[in-house]
Amino acid sequence: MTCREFANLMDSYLKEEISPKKRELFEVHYFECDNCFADLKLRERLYSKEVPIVLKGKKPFLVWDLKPLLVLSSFLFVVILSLVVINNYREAEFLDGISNVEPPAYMQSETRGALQDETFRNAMSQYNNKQYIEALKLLNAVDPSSVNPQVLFFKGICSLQTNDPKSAIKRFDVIIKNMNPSYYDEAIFYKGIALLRLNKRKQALEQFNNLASMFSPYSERAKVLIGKINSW
Amino acid sequence: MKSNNSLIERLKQNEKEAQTELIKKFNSRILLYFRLRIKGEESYEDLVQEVFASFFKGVGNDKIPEDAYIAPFIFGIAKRVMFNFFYKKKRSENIQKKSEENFESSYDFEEAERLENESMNNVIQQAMQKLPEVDKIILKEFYLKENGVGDVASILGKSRHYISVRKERALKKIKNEILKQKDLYNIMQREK
Repeated sequence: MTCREFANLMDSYLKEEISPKKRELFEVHYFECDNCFADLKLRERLYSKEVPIVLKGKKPFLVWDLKPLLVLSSFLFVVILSLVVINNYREAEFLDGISNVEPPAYMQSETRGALQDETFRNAMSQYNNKQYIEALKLLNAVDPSSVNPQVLFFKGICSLQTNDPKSAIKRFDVIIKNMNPSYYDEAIFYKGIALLRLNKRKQALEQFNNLASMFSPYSERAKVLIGKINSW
Repeated sequence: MKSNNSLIERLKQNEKEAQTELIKKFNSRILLYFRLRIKGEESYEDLVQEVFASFFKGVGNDKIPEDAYIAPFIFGIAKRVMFNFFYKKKRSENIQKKSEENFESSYDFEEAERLENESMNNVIQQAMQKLPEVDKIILKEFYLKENGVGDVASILGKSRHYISVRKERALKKIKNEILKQKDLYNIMQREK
């Protein structure tokens, strides 16, 4: 056995994990080789556990040391995440509560961009009876290309009332973009409401602030909503 | 220290100093051999004595031609003594008989080893203090806690190779410290 082979087997020998065949060759070697026996003896002393190994001073960085830190940070992460989720949920609930406003009623006497169409009248009859899905179907039949501001506005309201705020926003945006005076203020107000339903607080505030700065019958309602939103 | 070249000649001339030199050199090896081969014995004193008794008898009978044959010869005897221990039930009688015949020694083999170990432990402990903390942790995990290289590597977040290399380097440093005091530790003698 060479000294190199011997060196590789020292720990196995002392732990008695060496094969019987190699064991005798190993033993012969340490009887003959002073240098290898010195190495073996040193290891034997360490295995004897009679030599205390005292650690002092600054402890080196151990991955194991991270364990409590990892547990703590994971715990904190879960707590923070839970708080964020709860807060978001509560905020959504709050915004949803604020956005719970009555839809504007349709008056037969309404003249702004009015259509004197039988289907439209039926649609608005359904609307006033809070049958928004039916109303929406009929309104789509009246004005499939969505150009009439009155039809567009009530379509938007119907979408809002049927829990489809995204479609409502698209419809209100057409009115706002065209700056059609007939339903411009209402479109901004109800777009703000639709944004609240989508928990888009900042964007909703923009709409209401815009409205509050205008001379509009909706300004006061917008201010009230701004106050409520900011109270969160 | 006298040269090993003349050890056989000096032993043939019944030089006491040569006998002590030889016993000091092989005592630890024989004890380690017996401890790992024969378990559960309170004392191995008689067995070691039998080995040396047989060896000195062999020297007297000119069975060992030169120094190079000493170690294999002693190992052969140790092995035979071990077999005798296992296969012959009248161990104590045989040992007593051989001891009376060939070798009379007041040498306390186990006590000598204990003192030697004690001194070595002190030197190892002092040498250990000079090591970097990470080396101490590696040695502690490996030898005191008997963790494998893989386990120590996981604990320290390093590769197995890194752990093995650092362990060997640390042991070499300790060994060098021991060798500096080799007059105290006959066991660590080596020819330059």
